[in-house]
Amino acid sequence: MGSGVAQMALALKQLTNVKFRAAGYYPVGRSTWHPVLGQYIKANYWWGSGSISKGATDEHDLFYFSQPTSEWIGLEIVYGPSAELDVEPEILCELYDVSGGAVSTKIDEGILFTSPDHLQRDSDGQSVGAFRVNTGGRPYVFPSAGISAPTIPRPLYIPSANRGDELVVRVTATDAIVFGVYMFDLYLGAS
Amino acid sequence: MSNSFTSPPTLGSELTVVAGQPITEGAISAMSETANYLWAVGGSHNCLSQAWAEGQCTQKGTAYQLMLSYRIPTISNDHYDFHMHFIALGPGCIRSTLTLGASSYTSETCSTGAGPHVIEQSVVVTSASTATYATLDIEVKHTTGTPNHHELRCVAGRWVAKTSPVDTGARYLGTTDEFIPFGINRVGNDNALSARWGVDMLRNIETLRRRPISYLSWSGVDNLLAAPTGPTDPAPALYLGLGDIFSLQVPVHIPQEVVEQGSYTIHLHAYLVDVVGSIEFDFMGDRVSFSANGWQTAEIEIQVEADDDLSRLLDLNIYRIGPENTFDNTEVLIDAGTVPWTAAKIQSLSIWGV
Repeated sequence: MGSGVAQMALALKQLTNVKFRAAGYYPVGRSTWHPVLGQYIKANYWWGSGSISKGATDEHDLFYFSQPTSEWIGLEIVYGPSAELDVEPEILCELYDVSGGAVSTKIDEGILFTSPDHLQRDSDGQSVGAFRVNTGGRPYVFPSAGISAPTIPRPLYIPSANRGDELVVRVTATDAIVFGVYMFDLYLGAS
Repeated sequence: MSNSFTSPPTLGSELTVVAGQPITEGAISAMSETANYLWAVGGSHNCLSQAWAEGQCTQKGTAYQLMLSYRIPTISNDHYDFHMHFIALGPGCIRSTLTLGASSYTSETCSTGAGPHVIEQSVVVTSASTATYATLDIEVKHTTGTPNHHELRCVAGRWVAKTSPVDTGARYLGTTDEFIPFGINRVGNDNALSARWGVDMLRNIETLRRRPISYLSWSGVDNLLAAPTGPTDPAPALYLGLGDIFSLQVPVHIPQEVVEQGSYTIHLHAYLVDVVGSIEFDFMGDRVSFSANGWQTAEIEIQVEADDDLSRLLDLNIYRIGPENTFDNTEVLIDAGTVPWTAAKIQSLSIWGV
């Protein structure tokens, strides 16, 4: 035995816990109708083009094919706050199991991005724009009694019984629109 | 001898296999099982992911129309079941065709739910193939009923992981990347540790390191039944545009060592239309020139710096994958200044790393 075999062990750890972490990178397509020109541009013609009426929601069920080694899912969301005045955008992210061909049991109560703590607000009602927000990469310590409502932003947790399953991350934006959701297993070391 | 593995794997500790340690604690068995596991399971997460806002990726026609097209990397010659999930709405059908080399495989699924519902679909490759990527075409049609269209809100796909044990004999990705599975009964504590085990493990690790990881799958939405005439009509993007420079910056991990060594390759597959002469786009610090229509490919080395903030947050080297914010891209990607845009355009873009 020697350093050569130790390096092989390290390489396998790297492959298992770093390279082959699960991930799902979702661009979210939106209307490319230009409201001023009154024309179909056929492409996202500007950073953060879009619109949403006050109080409206933008909901997406996004599949996440987890791996047996998955545990915490980090998120980065590209979003645009509503261009309406006096709105406070929110983005709720929840985790569900997929069972029997349907989005089934909620397995993480989820997290809530709010403004102005986490999300950009629009002060003059002029533009949507595009911004990014993420969960960070630190696991969350749940209270012993568990949680029954969304928490502050944190990575989503996959219970051990659901690791390797086909899951759904439900992203619901209120007074904001979503341009992309990028999801990935967190790297927590290898042991 | 069974090439079995446990899932998730028990990782062998590097601390127990350094010089001076007795060969008694099962690290070699654990490492062998982990290698088998990685061959069967590694990379079986999303290799296709795209979503649309309500009312955008919509088909009102009652005959199949090709709406989406992607390039998908294969993860080995053994993984033959490409499984897809859709969130669909309204009555209609989805027909997916996966083409590897000269062979095509099709799967069709119809549904009638008026509200958003899950559709699962498998395209099964029935002939052995050495192709390292596939082309996936997705056709959609509306069938009688309410509402008057079939709509996709989300599409996701992956190669289904293989179950234990790994098939016997040498396994391959393409024609040259070889993997020799480990017979677990031969690597127990009471067996001699042969030099062959070390040779095979080194080769297997190299092969697994070359297994592709998908970063981006983006397709324009083609063949709407009718062009939109107002803001409430479906008007999805058909081509890559100026606004995608910001939103398609996908955060992915790439080991810094391979970036510095220049041993990591970004595979870029783009479907182009209206190319006359040639056109250049900037991706990750490289300028890529295309001079023909249809699916075109390029292999580039990543040149951009890592995203420092996200790298610190995630304890990994995170790079941004996608069209770059350069002067050239602001000139060649579609904006609202010229309608219709007659110059060359990218209609689909798939990116993966090897």
